[in-house]
Amino acid sequence: MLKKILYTLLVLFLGGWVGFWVNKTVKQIKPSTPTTATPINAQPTPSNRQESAIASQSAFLSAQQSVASLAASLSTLTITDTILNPPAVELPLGFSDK
Amino acid sequence: MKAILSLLIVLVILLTPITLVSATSEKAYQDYLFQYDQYRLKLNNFKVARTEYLKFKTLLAETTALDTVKAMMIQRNSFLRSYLLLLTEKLNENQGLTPIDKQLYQTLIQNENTFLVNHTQLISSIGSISDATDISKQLESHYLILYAGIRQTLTTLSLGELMKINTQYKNNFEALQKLAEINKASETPEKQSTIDRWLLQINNKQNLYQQKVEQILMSNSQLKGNSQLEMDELFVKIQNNLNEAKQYLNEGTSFMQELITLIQYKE
Repeated sequence: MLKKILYTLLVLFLGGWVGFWVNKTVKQIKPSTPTTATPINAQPTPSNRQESAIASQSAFLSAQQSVASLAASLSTLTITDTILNPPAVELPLGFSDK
Repeated sequence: MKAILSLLIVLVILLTPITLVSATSEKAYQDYLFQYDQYRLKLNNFKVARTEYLKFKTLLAETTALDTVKAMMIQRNSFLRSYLLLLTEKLNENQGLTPIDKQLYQTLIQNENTFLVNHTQLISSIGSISDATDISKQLESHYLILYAGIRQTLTTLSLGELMKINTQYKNNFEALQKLAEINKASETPEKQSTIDRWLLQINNKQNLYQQKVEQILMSNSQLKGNSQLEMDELFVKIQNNLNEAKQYLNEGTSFMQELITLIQYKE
């Protein structure tokens, strides 16, 4: 009985070790994910510059928000709706020897 | 419990119009896909029957070819009509087009729909392969007109999307002009001069956009060709112009963002 348990434990240990080794090897073989370059912000936020008096006014804040909203609308705008491509139909019936 | 129920009812009422607006074209699109499947099925049946008929010329093969060609022609018209309905719904939902523009293209689509309805009625009277060929040729000879109408409507839908954004652009430009005016006294003459120059450039981008749109409208109203391919090529040119018009708005918006930053900070 004890032998059986020991055998089972040994098999489980060996199986686990083999599994770990295979997993590690596969990970090494896998091509590394290309690192994406961090986009450089064209307009860095000037952190050390002092804000003008108008920057806290509601008219300015509203304009700022509105321009951001316009930029967002433009970025999601798709000129061509691909689901609307004209239907493809076959016109001549093909009874050529009529 | 009552409060939750009331809140749910209010939410349902508030969200209903949004769901209805998007459901109409979505429903038309689902119908279009269904009609397309039916058309492919009936077209395949017809092609098999036509091959049999051209090969064996038996009376049975002729009868089968006749039955399948009629079914295919009726389905072909249904498929085209479902597409026209989809275009109508897309026109209805487009927020950038004026009611006059919508009406113009809806009338155009309606005329094409009437042609297809009348053509479908003729199909039921087909009694021979020769009849089928003659009646099919009516659609074949009309198809370029239908195709031009489709291409014109597609351009108009794209223009509508751009026009909606353009309205937003113009409103933003006006708001920035007002903001610059209010802020005038507190700015240095140099900064004020920069603001004025940038505003001018933002306005120039809108003018360039407008010129491009005029060009698109002109090309679209004159869209015609001797073949579908020729019209497709013209349509690609129009699409390029639409993208250029969008690019002008993009550039102008980018200028607006720069202007906002300029106004936001002191020297």
